[in-house]
Parts: sequence; C-alpha cells; structure tokens
Amino acid sequence: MVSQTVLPPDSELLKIQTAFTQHLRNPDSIPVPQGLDARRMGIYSDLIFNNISSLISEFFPVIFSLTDSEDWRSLIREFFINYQCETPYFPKLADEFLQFLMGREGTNHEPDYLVSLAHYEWLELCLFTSESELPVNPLDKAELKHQRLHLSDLAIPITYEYPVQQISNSWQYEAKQASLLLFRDQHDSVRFFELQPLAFELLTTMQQESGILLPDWLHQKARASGPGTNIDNFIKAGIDLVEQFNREKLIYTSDTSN
Amino acid sequence: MAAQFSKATPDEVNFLEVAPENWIGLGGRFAKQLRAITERTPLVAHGLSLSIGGPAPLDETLVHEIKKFMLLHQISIYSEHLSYCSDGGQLYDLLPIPFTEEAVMHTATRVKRVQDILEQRITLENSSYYLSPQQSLSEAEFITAVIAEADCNMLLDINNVYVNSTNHGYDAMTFIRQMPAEKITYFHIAGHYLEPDGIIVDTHGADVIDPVWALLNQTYTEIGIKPTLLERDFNIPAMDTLLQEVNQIHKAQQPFI
Repeated sequence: MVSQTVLPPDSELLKIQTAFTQHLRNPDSIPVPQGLDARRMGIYSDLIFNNISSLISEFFPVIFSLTDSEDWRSLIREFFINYQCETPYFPKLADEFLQFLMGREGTNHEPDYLVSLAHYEWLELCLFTSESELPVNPLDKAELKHQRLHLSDLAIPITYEYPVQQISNSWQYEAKQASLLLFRDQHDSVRFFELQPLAFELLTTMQQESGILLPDWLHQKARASGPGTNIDNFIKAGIDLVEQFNREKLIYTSDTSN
Repeated sequence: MAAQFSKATPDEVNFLEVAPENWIGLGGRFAKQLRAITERTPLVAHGLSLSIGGPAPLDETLVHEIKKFMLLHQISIYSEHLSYCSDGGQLYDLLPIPFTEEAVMHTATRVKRVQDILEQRITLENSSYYLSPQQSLSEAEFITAVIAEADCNMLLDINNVYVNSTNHGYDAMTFIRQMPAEKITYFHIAGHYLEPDGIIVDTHGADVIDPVWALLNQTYTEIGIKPTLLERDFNIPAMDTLLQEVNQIHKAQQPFI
C-alpha cells in the first residue's frame, strides 16, 4: 500500500500551514494568524522577504542598481503575492522572476525597458550556468568554407527593443533596437558582440537545424544586395566575420570530416 | 568560497557540505569548481527545498535529481531540515512545522517515501524556529516521534538547540539528552544574531559564541564525538579566521580520540 504523502482537504495541518504562509506572503494585508505572536511572525516575514530580495538582486544586478529601494521592495512584495515559484533550484529563481515580470502589466513609473533588461540579465545567467560546453578546438579554414556550419547553443543572437547592454546609471535613455550575440567564452565568462543586420541574419540562420554552407549563403546575399556590390569583397568580409566567432569556438559543424 | 576550495582544500577540513539545490543542473565555471572539490574532498548533501513537512505534494522529481547528484559526486549522506518551505509555491526558507500528531505522521510518511526513492536513510536536522504555529507536543517529542516513525537519521545542530532553548526558554542540555543519540550521524555548529529585544536569529553570519562551544563540549562528553560541520553563510571572513573555528572543533574532539 502506498501511504498518502498529500494532506486531505479537511486537514487541520493544511489549514494552519496555509494561514501561516498566506500571512508571510502578504503581511501588510493578511493578519497574523490568531494566537501567534506578531513580533515573531515578523522575523519570518523579514527572513523570507530578505532572502528572495537578495537572491533576485544578485541575478538582476543592473535592474537592482537602477531601482530605488521603495520600488524594489514593492516589486518583490508583488512577486510574493501574485506569483508561485515552482523551482526548488536557487539559480532557476531567475527564470521565475522573469516569468513574473513578463506576465504583469507593470506600473506607470517603471521604465519601459524593464522587461527587455530583465530578459538580457536572465539570458546572461542562463549562458553562465548552462551545462553545454564549447568544443576544444575551433574549426579550421577549410571546414569553415566547405562544411555545414551551426551556431553553438552557448551563443544566442537576439534583438532587443532597447540597447540593454548599455543600460546603467550613466546611460542616456534611448529607445533604439540592439542586436547582440550573447555568448559564453572559453573562460566561462559571458560576453557580447554587437551585430549588424546581416550578421544577425547569418547567425540566426546558422541556429536552424540545417545550418549553412557559408560561401553559398554569402554569395546569395551578395547578389541580392544590388549591382554595386563587389561579390569577392563581400564574401571575404563575411568569412572574416565568421572567423571572429570561430575563434571563440562558437561555430561547429555537423558534417563528418574526411 | 567554492572558488577557494576548488584550488585547494585546507588540511583542517575533512568534509564539506553543499546544498544540492544550488548545484543541480548547473554547468560552467561553478560546476567546474564543484568537480575540482569533489575530486578530493568528501561531500555531504544538505538540502534546502524538499519541504518535508509541507502542505504541498512531495517533489519526487527533486528527490530523483538529488539521487543522481549524489551518485555523480559520490555523496553518501543526504540531510534536510525538519521544516517546510513551500505552500504550493516555494518560499525558499525554513518554516516551522506545527508540533502535532498529524504533522508527525504526515512528515514521517513523506520521509519514508523519500527513503524508498533514494534507497537509503536520510538525515533530518532540528531546525531553528521562532514560534510554533500549533503545539500539542513539545519540540523534543515532535522530533523524536518523527525520527522513530520514519526510521531516519538525525543531524543535531548544536547552535539551533542553543537558539531555540533561548528563544523558547528551555534547558539546552536537557533537550539534547532527549534526542535519539543512536540515530545522530553528525553535528552542526554555527554563529547567530542577537536582536536588541533578546530574540536570537539563526543567521549563520557570525562567529560561534562561547556558550555554543560549551554546549558542543558537553554533547561530546555525553553522547560522544561525531563529525562536526561549521556553517557560515554570510559575512564570510578570510579562510584563516574560519579555520581557527574549524581547529577549535578539532581541539574539542581531541580528548575523546
């Protein structure tokens, strides 16, 4: 017989625990459960609040640094009240906080770039903690030219509505798109390259399952870019660009070498 | 801390504790540091998120992941807090289980399920608590009942005994004598924070105080020496300073070896 590891709905224990945590989630609006000491309940509500606040501030350091402390406290309080975190894993709390931010309206005095910036900080953490590894060696020149190329999953090309990579206390607000390649380097640090539109298109195509044959792809793009284009120079520039990503070991091939 | 230990483990340190919920599924730099540590220092898995006495369904996926994590890093002991941390959503902190018969049975049933999955006994720690949401048993009765019913092991946290005995006005050594000595596999010792109104908060953010060292000595005298771990989570001082406290554990154990 399997014993029940879940409490029945009429359980006294369930009732006590639910009242207890409901107050902790929202101590300003939900009264201290009857018979319990407010001072000591306050220790618990402070402990859980400060713990989550400190973890989230480590995962989203830029947002934390730009948010005044009152607004930060309201945001964390709202997270407690309106969101149920499922993950038991501490680093994954960043996923939960991003989900929370994406699922809410936001308030009038919050910056419009908040969710973009949160996504960027979350993606940095994802890459930093990813279980994927870069290959030992980059591809050689012949491989780059003749084999089907793919982008490492430790490199993510992405376009944001704001220049999230520049946002800091000294940043002058500017609603200007930014295309970036975020990646984890060989020293396990996360960095980015800023991308021109063609580089962005190249990298997102490389992410697809079929990958690309680089000279063919570049040739096609060169011809499409108009009669004034020097096709050889265009292809050379494209290969140089991919070389730069290849030096970071971000390019791999699915073809088997002969 | 992990970066420091990944380069070399000081001779004074015989084992380390990691929270599996900080490391499961983690790659990159931190995972490499952990691997470097596990290659030469034995680890104990000290869980935080199981919510063993909680109202939400038991997270069996987490238990399976912990089993894999232990296998990967050759960890033989898994300890958790006799508390809960989830009401359906995780709250990531240690909340007090009401000391009732119902809670004893509920918690013990879940411990047995975890032990079935892991195919080994788990170790439960006496948690610090600031109030008891309902109490038909004493703290000592509650702990001993859960451990007996679930047939699991116990991690006796000496600092928590001190904190709880002060916050709830009981005698620490009397409490320790009530614990099932034959089930205790290891001890914790730590520092804490004294609030201006006299309540002690178990922060693991300060040096161990003399009365706690005295309690450890007395515990060694009465129930014998066991592996003893120094916990420090905040305000972490330089390694030399930490090792002075580790050496104080060695010194306290010396007369019994």
